Amino acid sequence: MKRQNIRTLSLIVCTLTYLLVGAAVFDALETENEILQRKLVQRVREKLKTKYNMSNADYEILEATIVKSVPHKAGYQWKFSGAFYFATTVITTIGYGHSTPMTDAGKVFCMLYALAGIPLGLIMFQSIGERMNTFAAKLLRFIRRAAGKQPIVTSSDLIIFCTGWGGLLIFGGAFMFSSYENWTYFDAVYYCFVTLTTIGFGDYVALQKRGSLQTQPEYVFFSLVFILFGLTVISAAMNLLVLRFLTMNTEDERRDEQEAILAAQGLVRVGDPTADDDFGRLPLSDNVSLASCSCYQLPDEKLRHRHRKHTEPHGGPPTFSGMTTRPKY
Amino acid sequence: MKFQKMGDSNTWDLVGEQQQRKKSRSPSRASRVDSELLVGVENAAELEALGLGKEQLEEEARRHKKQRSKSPALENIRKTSIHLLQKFGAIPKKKDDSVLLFRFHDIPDIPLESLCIRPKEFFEEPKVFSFRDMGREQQKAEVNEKCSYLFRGTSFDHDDHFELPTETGRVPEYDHFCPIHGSRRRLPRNKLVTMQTLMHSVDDEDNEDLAYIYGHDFLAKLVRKKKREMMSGTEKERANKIKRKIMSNLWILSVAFLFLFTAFNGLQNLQTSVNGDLGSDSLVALYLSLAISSLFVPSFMINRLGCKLTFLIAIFVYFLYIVINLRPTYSSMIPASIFCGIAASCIWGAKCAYITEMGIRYASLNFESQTTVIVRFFGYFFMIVHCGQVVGNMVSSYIFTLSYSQALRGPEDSIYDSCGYQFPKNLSDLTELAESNLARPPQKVYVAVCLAYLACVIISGMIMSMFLNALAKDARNRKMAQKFNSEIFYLMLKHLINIKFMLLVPLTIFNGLEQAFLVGVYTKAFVGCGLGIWQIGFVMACFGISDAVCSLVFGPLIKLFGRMPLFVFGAVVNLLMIVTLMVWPLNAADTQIFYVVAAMWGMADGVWNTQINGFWVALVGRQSLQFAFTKYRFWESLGIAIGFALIRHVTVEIYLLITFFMLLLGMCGFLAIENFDHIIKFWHHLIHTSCPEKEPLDDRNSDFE
Repeated sequence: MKRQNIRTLSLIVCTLTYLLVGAAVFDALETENEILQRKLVQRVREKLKTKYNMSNADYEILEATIVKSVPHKAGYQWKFSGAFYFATTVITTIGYGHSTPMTDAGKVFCMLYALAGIPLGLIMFQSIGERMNTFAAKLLRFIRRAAGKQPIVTSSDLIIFCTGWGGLLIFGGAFMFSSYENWTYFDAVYYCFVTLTTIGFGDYVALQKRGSLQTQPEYVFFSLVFILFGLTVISAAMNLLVLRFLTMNTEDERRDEQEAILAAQGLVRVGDPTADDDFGRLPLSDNVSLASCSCYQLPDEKLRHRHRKHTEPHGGPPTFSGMTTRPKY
Repeated sequence: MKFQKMGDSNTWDLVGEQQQRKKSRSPSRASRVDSELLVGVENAAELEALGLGKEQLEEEARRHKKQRSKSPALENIRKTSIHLLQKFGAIPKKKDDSVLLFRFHDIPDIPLESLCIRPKEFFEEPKVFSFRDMGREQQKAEVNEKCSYLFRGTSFDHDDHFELPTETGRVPEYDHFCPIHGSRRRLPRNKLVTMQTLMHSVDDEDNEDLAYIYGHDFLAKLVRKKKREMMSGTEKERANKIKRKIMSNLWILSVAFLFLFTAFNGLQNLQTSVNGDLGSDSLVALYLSLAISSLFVPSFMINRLGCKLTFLIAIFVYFLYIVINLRPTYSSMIPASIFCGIAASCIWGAKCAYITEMGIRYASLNFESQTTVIVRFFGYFFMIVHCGQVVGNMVSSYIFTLSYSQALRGPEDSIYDSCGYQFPKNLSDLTELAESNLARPPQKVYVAVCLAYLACVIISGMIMSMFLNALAKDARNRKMAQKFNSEIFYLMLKHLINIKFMLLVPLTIFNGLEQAFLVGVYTKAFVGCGLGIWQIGFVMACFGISDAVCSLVFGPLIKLFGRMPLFVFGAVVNLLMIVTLMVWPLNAADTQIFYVVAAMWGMADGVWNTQINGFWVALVGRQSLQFAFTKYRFWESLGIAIGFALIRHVTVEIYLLITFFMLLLGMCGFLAIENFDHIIKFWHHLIHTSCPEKEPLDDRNSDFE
């Protein structure tokens, strides 16, 4: 089988296994807590019902109202700053879900917006990431030269550099968030991590307390810059790590093609020509296939010249009167 | 009008170049190089005299090529975005320069079997021998030690058996993609090496350098550079002196215009909200007279009076216009507006003539290409004049703020029912709050603003009269008896029937409509109604800044991306803004939106102003630069006039709808021009296939090409 197919299959198997393992571990870690939570809610509900003598329907209404009021408690979500925050979460694919479009027009526009915005954002972040890597390489080279070492920077150096940057960003950002939002430091780190990996659970969302979207412009600014800059650093690391794997299959294809060309020149064994004639063992190279079954000939001076040079010893220059190449109009 | 370029990178020489290339494109690239070889530039002897041998040329070319691809970041962005846009079909794929191959009817159908021989055994294609390949093969052979027993000696062995193409027959050859017995027959054809790609690759490999070295522009550039180096001492000093004088004149002119348009733009933005119907009527009169008079008055005035006198007279008319604005009535404002429109057409024409003249002079002194210098001069000029929009608006807002300071209220956090797209035609339907926002400022304050503007105009006139040098050409012109010159008018009539130019007209009119919207509707129904008249200046200043910056930035960008993406960008931004304004229930507490909309609108406007003007130049500039500018100004002013007339008669919502569809229409026209040749070709094809015996149709359409 082809190498590419094998690689893909093993990746699929690997990922599925990883998912299974993950499911098992999460299950083990969270089940107990969930049961406790359920019991707690149940108990509080019963207590409330008996205390205020509420009917079941009333209680459900109360529950729904509270759930509905959560985003409103955080302040206006669709004033300009809120809308900007939302648009950021859309095109970066973070998608907290703290505020979502409610009208049909809004939903339609959101889809179209994401369609154009996500690729745009991706390309931009990758582009900046690549620039940052180049800059970092330059910096590292300079440092090494200053330290009197050979100015050679490997990509592993760069990865370490990027990871360092990312870590710094997450831990520094977590400090700011924990002070602004009154989260514990660990929660803030968790929030930063979930945000910058664009998972975006939405259990912790910045800018959702005390109407800070409207009242604290400097905090809004900080959060947006943090998200955008953090994603840039992450995509710089992605640019180093993941893109290499992504292009692996393409590289293999290219190598196959080259092999095929070599095979055509008789340099490599071509395998059994009768068994698999449907994948390319014959030349694909540009200057080999000259004329084909179609009624076209070479109008180009250069090519004809080449052709002639090649056949000259045998007779006069060939003419091409049989075939007509003529641009229409 | 607003034609922003920085340095050498500009639309002008770009689009000009493109057209040139299109014209000189002959059937094959190779022959083009031959025909262009040193024709018309300078003769070879002169080149030799300047010390530019062939080797130096090549060296220069190589260095230049290296320089061109210097910035990997830009290159990367350009590549990815072009790739992406090509994927989406926003820009056409790179055109194949090679000859289009069509199946010719004369060829009789030959059975496939007679041409494509079934291979008796597996064999290799005889490869054309070259030394480069030989070295590579042997290298590979060494590497692949294991397979070397398969290495069948020299592959060019086969040459002996290679069949000659005979006089009449074709070369019977094995084709891998032959649908019957080719070994690769089942492979997708998209990887197939067609004749086009084949020829293209050959062209690119060898001929590009050649073409580049002998390219007209490149040679001219080198010659100029050499000439500049070879200038002697005294000559150089004299030239430097004149150059300095030209530059100072350019700055003087720009600053004078800055003052003039500070006043005019500031006043214009207040016109509809302060003066109501009278304001929009007077603006209609102004722009209508500007559009019509720009056809024949400027050339007449400039030839009679010379540029400098034309400037001064026009400034005087502006002065009168502002004086009349102090106490506006219908009987005084309308004539004043008409005269002001005539003055505006004269001042724009004179400015174009003046800058062009200076540019030509400067170019001849500095041995530079004329268009480059002229475009650079226009770039500097508009960079400064654009600031007028900002300064003028700031002045008005500042004065209003000072006078209102005791009565100012913060915006209310609720939806304004009678503002935005719901703005009523009948002003009595306004809510109380909106009415108080739109109330005419006290006469004292309004007079103060007007007087400030009046002072600006006076300063502008003083600068112009005291510091600006008159052109030598004017004195010469005045001696000659001038007849009424209506060349441009005739040209205009002549071109009225040309489809290609007409296709750009909707977009140009849209450009006017869109400006009229911002000046006439947005200031009144949105900003004035929601935030109060005193805020108009700030919002419009935001528009001015983004307009100026974008006009500057998008000039060089066209070199990276080409014209199409920029137009699409402008169109998308503008469409989204129009839709936003159409659905936005105005809430004054959301103040940022006002500024964001203005800024986005400015961005789109920056695209329109620079690119449409550049496009006009590219389309008609070959005949006369003056004519291109006039055409653009004519249609744009007409659009503005239509816009202001519409304000009187339709609601804001309908106005926005009209703008929306006008933009769509304009973009369709633009796309049609971009693919004009294809469409014409298709059209020909259609005609030919439907009625093949009718030949003379060719003649009718030939002038489009």
